[in-house]
Amino acid sequence: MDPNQAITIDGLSWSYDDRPILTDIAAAVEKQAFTTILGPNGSGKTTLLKQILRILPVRAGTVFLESRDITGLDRRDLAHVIGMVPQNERNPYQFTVEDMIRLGRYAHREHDQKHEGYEARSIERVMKLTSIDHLKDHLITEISGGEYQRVIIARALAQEPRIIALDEPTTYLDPLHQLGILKLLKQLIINEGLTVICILHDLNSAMSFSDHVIMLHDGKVFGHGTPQEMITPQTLKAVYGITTQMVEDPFTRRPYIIPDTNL
Amino acid sequence: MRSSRLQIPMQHITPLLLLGILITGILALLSLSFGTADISVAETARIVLYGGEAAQTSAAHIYIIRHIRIPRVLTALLVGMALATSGVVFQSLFRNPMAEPYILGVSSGAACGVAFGAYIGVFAFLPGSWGVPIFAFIGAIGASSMIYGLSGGLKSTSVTLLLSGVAMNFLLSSLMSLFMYFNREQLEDIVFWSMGSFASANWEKLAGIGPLLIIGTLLIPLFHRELDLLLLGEEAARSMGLSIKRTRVLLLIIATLLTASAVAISGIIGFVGLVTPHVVRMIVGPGHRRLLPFTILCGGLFTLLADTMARGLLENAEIPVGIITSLAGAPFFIYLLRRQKKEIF
Repeated sequence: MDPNQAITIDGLSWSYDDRPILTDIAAAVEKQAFTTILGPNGSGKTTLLKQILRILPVRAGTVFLESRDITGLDRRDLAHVIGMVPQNERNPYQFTVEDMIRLGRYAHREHDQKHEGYEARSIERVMKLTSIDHLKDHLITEISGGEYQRVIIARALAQEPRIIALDEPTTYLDPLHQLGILKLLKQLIINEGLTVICILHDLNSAMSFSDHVIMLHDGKVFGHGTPQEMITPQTLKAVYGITTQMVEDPFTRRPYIIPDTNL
Repeated sequence: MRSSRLQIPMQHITPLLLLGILITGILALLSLSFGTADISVAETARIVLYGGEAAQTSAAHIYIIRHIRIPRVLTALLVGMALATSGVVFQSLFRNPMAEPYILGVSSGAACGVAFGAYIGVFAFLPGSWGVPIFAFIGAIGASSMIYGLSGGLKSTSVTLLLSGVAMNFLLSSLMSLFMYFNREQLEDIVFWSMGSFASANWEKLAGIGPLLIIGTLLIPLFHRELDLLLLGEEAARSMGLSIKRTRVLLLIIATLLTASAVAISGIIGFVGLVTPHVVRMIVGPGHRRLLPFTILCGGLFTLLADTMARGLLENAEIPVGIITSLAGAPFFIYLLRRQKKEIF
């Protein structure tokens, strides 16, 4: 097994009531890089993420996290390796931001009980990392969508995982906050050595921020590679059925996708 | 910052709890001095503090306080604590603030189990302090696992959960009627189980069931993190390292045991598990580390006050305490139902 791979997936299949959702997935996620899962609605992106986290049990095929088969890991060990930011989580409970993030320490509760003050320091650290330290005592029901998403990322970071998996973390955010979240993830890779695997819908965000793209289509891997290789007018036509043209993004010098919006 | 709940700093929690215990103690003493026999508060305090001989008071009064009123007040406190605690657990398990042992039919399940035991005459062989809780538990666990299955476990919406509870209560009340019909000579006993009262509390019952109530109630706060995580839903809880199936089964069993023990000693007392956690949540928030100690305390206070009212409202008769808690709780339930569209917890 390649030690540079954070996640290695082989022969992974999943079906729901005899309807195949994922078929024979083989993919790898490199350590300390930004890997994006792309694909149309219903292509199996979320199911793939849930399998990696073993929220859905692995039935056919294998998933290795840092060279360890996840079927042999208990929940706590799994939570030490990988944290999750679920799709569109919004809770009605009046937890404070700090209390919500503290839940992320669950997998380390025995450690924290032995080490006085560690939990508080750890919570403070992830709040700083995600720039929400000023919201500590605010209720999660009373903060904005962008702030909430940072709280959830902070909660996942409080697990001290080496991999963080995010399901559409920017979908309901305005452009400023979308950019804020993606930049934050990039910083976490550079400064904290984190590995990011992320489902995105926005093709240009994927192009600008990803190191690697896994393109899903009808529950199969359509292809994987650099964003420049994977996001092209040809693949977008084949996978999404949309007509696009590429121009150069003046900031990143990467291609910028413009869909054909004529009626 | 606008805040729709009070936020009590962690360092104020312990003093507040101690204050709550002190208030409970004072109210318990007042409740002890309350009743048909006219015993003053001071005399009650002397009997409680110095025991019989040193209290220098009438033997009848000593007997009433020690053998009738103390076990009754203790039973009221422990049952209230247990019911409020199991309410909190059911609310977290079902992610629904309306979940409560009485509304879900778990209390009726316990009462039905006891009625069934009485009908087959098993309590002639098993000692009452064991047989009753065992049959209450069998009935309650049957009801709670059925409600879990019927409502689709955690994925249930409020409506399906509450309707499952309604269906369960219909089913169980017709079963109860059936046992009453077949067993007319014990009609009064069965009616007692379905109305709830502390009137028959005594040291013997308390010695059998009290430990179950205490152990169950004290076990639950150990799971405060798990109860928090369950609120977030299956996927988030799993991703944070919770073994969700094991945790749910364990908590369901403890909460059911608590309900069954409470019913075994005092019959069905509804809404304690609904009203108490809700009011406490408005003050200390949904986090179970703070919620549970205060809910336990307030649950005890709620039934203590309800029982004192049950004894004192009518001149020469006693109202079953279950009627009082329902009169207070049902309007509260309706209020929650109307509010639910906006806010869940």
